[in-house]
Amino acid sequence: MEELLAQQDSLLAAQPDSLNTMFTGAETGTTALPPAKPWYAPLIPTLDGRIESNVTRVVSSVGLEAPVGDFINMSGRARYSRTDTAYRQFDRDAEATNFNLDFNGAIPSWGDLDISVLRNTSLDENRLPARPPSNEPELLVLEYELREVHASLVGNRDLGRGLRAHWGVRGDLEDTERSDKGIVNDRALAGGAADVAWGSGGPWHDFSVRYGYDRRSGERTLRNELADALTERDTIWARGSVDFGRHFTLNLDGQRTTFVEERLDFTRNVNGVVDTLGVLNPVGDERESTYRNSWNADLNTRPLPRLALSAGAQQSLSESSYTLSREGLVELRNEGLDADGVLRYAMAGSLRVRYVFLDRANDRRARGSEGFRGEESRQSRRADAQFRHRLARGIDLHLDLQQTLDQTINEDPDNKNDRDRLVTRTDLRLLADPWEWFDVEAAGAYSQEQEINIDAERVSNNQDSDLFEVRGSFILDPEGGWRFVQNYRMQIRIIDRVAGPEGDKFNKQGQWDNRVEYRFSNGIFTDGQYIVDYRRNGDRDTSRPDEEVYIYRGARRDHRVVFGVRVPVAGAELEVRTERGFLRDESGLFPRNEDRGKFSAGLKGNWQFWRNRASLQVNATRILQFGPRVRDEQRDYWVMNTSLRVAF
Amino acid sequence: MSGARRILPHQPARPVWSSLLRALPVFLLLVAAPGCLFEPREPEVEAGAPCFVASPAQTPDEVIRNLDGGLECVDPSVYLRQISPEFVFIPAPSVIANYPELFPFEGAWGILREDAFINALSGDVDSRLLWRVIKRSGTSEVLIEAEYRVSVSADGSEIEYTGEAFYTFRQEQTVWVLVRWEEKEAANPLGALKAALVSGR
Repeated sequence: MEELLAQQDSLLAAQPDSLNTMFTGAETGTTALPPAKPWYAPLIPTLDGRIESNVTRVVSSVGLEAPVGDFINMSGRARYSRTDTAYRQFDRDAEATNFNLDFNGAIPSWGDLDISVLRNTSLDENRLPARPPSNEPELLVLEYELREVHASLVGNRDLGRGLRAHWGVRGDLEDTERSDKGIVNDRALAGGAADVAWGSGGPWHDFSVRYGYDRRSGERTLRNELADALTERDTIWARGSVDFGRHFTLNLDGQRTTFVEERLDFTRNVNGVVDTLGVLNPVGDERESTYRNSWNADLNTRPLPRLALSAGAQQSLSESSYTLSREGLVELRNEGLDADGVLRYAMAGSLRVRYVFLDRANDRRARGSEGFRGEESRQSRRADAQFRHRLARGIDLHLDLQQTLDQTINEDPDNKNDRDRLVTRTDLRLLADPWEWFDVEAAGAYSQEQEINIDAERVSNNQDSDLFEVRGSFILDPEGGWRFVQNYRMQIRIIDRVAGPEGDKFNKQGQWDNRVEYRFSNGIFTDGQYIVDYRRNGDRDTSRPDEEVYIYRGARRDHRVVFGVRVPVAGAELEVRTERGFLRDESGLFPRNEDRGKFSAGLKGNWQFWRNRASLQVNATRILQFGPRVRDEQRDYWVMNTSLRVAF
Repeated sequence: MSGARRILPHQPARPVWSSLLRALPVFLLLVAAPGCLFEPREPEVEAGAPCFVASPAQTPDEVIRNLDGGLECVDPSVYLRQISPEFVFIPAPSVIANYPELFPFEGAWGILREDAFINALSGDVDSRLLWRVIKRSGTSEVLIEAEYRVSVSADGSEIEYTGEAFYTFRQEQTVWVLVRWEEKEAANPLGALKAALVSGR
């Protein structure tokens, strides 16, 4: 169903986004057409070739694009491409082709006409090694072919006296052949859609009503069985806005949609899950009926010159019934509420306060059952305040406070997933930018997080955690080609298992990152970086439960040094980088001393030739790595992105 | 950077403390106000044996043990705690082909989708994510290639999901977490269950 909703949405989206824009006629296409050319204008195709290679896959693609004819008020383009992918990590190859033909133009006094033809194919071959019970290598093949034709005509007209009209019609043909490991799942559908709208606008108001209808029918094959398929959807949508400038603006929006689908489907269990290849879920005729009502309202006002307030509310209710699935009846409810206030108390000082509430709930009644299984709701509440204040010229203070409560609430007493998560966070930042060549930031944060399982069986996993953080950075960018950047961060996190001291944790960590760059006057660029990552964990001393004492397990220190140089050579750039890392880890059962390294050398360039009708982009880098985390395929490989484009 | 330095217009200097004093009431109000705006619910009193008690994941194997326990008890708090915020799930190619809206690009399935999956799951689950270890490599970032077997019984039917997957683990904060889970193609991969539950179709 979602697929079809998305398809109709895309039809609507293909039309102007807002009714205000829609009725201006700015997008009718009559003014946007290119200058008329004779219909026999010569084909000037463009050829694209690409090779992309990295550590996981090698991709090669070739594409041809050409204008296929410019008629009176019409223009068209065709594109064909083929992509082959070979995966290095898996024994897997994939090839895909795409063909697309597009015509668009305008029919005077009728509107914009768009015709498109599409054909996509893909073949994905996965080879699995021999294993019991068959002890034979297995080949899993996915084949897919999609053929589509679409035509649409969209028009707008100003009726005078503030009234406007819009219409759109669309026809579609779709033929999909899909073979998933030898099982055929095809679909052939023909459909049409139409929508009309009337609107009225003025200096302080805008109202409109829109109605859309979409129907598709045809045949569908599922697990080699063929049957009829049908989808039908209609939507009525009303929208209004009132604008009294800074006093207030009000937007209202309401929509009702009904949707019916008849299709072949699998019998789904109460989770809605299908055993896609087994024999447990037989194929049958499914009929799905859905209706959905939704509305939302927004109010904005500026009662005082320095005070802005806004509030919004939205609700969406839907009900879907199924004749085949064990789900039977599914009810969905989405609700939201938000309020926002901004006070600008000084030229460079403001206070913003927000509150957001969201509730997403569902309830289901299995087919053949009399009662619902109980509403499952996920609620989220968030309140935050942001304070911005200029202490002096070039020095700003930012204070952010936020509290979030996420709740999973289930009516069914057998559902043990009820849980709450409360996060309270305070952030304080000082930012200084006194000169153009100097930036500095100092910041601190405190965050408290509570994870609370409600059910008695789950409370043993409840925990609280506290996080203290100090961080900062500076950028020194003086004249003469030098640039210095430094970042640091220190964190302490304490995890307290509510059930007892067993499992309580302490973690201290810090990162220090220093970078120096120098650009020579002849274009050579060089940089160096030194990064330190320090971590130390501790476990609660359970022999002293009354005291909060942690026993260190040992520290983990990781040092990394990077040097790089980029040299311009004959229109290209040669880049060489080298990196060494030293890990000293005493936090685990066995101490680890791990050295690692990486060296890369590459060439990057962009050349044009053949009277600038051909361009070649090359980005080729060879990478050599060593170290304990480096897999075989990562020890020596090429990263290559090469592109050739030729306009004939 | 450009050679010319910015010349700022002359402004009368104002002491920092004067500016701080002006903002002090708002500052104090903000610091004092939040306290606890929202009140979480009181948990029930622990009674009897819990379904599963997660152990602090000091090794990648303990991460998998906790994931198995989280799946079998359908306990989102345990399950999600084993997963990095940067987590990526790459399902078998057939799952990507059947649910293109869930996988528009590599890495589209992160911890939020995993959260939706574990919250939508119900029924009796038997999970063995490390049914048979095929290969293990790395020390500070560990990659395990393994065969998995997960069966879900609901509504009188049992469906078994089997195949092979690559699990990548990393040490974050105090514990190890799962950062990447990549499935190979299989007759009935676990990704098919995940995608079916999250897509709702």
